[in-house]
Amino acid sequence: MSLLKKLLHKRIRLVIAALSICILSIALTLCWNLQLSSIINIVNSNGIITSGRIISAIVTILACMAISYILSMISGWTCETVAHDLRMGYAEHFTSLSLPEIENINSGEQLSMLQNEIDDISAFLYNNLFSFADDAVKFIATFIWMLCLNPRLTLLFNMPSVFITLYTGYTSRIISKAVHKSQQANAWMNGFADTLITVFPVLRLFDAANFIRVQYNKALDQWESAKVIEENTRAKLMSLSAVLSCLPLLLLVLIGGTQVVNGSTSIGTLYVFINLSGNVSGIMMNMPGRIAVFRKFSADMMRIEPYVSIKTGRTRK
Amino acid sequence: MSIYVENLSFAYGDKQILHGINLNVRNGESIRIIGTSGCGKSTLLKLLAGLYKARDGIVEVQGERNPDKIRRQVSVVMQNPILFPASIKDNITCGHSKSTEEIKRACDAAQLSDWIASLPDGLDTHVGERGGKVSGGQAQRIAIARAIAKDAPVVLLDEATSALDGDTSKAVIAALESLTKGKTVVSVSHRPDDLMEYNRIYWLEGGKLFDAQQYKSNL
Repeated sequence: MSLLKKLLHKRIRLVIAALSICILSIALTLCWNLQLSSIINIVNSNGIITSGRIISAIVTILACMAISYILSMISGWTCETVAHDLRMGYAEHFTSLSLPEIENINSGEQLSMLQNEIDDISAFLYNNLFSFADDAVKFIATFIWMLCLNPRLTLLFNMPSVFITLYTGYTSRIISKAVHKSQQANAWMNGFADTLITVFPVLRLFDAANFIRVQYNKALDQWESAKVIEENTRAKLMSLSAVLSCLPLLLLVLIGGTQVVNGSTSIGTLYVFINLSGNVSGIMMNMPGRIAVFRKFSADMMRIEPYVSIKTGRTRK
Repeated sequence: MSIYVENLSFAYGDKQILHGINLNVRNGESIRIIGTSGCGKSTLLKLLAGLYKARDGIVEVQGERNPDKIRRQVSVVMQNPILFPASIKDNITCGHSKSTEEIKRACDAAQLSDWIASLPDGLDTHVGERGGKVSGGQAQRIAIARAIAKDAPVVLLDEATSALDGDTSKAVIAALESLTKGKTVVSVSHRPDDLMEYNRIYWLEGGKLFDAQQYKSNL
């Protein structure tokens, strides 16, 4: 993943700006939830909500909206810039090669890389990079905040998350291996298609069309079986993850509900816990898929890393 | 007559490459065609190999005029040998059923046997993408072994000795001698050399074929 580090380092100012806005965004969300909790508790105790409290809530909501817009813009800009740097680095690598090295390049495999891996990486950067960072910030901040509000409820309802995390870590490694194998088979198959064009005269002169068809079908079969194994593995492991990931919310409703009945916690706090559980257990629930996507991204990065030249000096944009 | 060419002309679109070529090569005779880069040597060879169809004129190889049938009568060895991404054995047989004896004979004749014996997987060794796992000289000899295994009566050599270096040239020349023994040979090259002997030498210029001796004396 040194390539990702280099790419992010090149645009460090944009990355820091985006991360700072992520932190500000979650701080505002927690502030809004705190206000909401107070409002629910006041309503529950038949109290009167003052105009100052309503104005303060409206200002917080508007600030949340504004910061969400800025976050989306800055993170989108950063990701697009990083993806552009990656493509330029790929192009730069080929311009720095000597003629014999260029002559030995398998253009089919390189085109496959450009069309598949680099496209996938660009899509990942655009759709997931800051969403990952945002999730991490949300998870940490919300978890700490919940611990301050009700440590017992926080620890109990998140207990299964520890096991789910371990399980997802294990499954993601298995999924990653399967993804890597299917990508290799895919590159081999695409490389073979390019070779067909090169060997065409020999193929005609030596009447080798049948032989090549058999070889190509072998490559196709290898890719097919690798893809089937990948999808089977993903489906089996991730379906169990999805079931396990429901446990935290069930525990929250069970334990939190009991605490409200006992009077050891307020209805406003429980509402906020349920409202924000997505930031903790929700992120956990999505983790198997996210990790699988990240593993694929990581495998893609490993494959293209030798073909990308990134100059480490920072660039102004 | 092994090769009979009469009034052959060929053009890529509007660009005329060959004009009124006439050529007769008897069975077992070997000829060499020399010409500068881009003069149409490879095009002529492709027409003789049945890779291109003659539009004007006649190309007859071993009595065949149909390109599909001509291809069965010829073996071609090129300057840059093209290998399939498969094993050495598959590259020699091209998927056709050949006995172990036939393959061994082709390997011996192409000076490959010692090298193959030193490989852990022997004939089943994969040559890699575009023959990337073997050296240029080894790839050239595999291509020659493939041509020997085909056992066609006509052998066409396209700059087959142009890129040889000191270490590999002896083995490749020996392999080419085995391939061309008793066959009709047409070799094209951009420069004359004395690596192999030929019955006649031609000069190709401006799309026309001249007898080299006559051409020299005219100059």
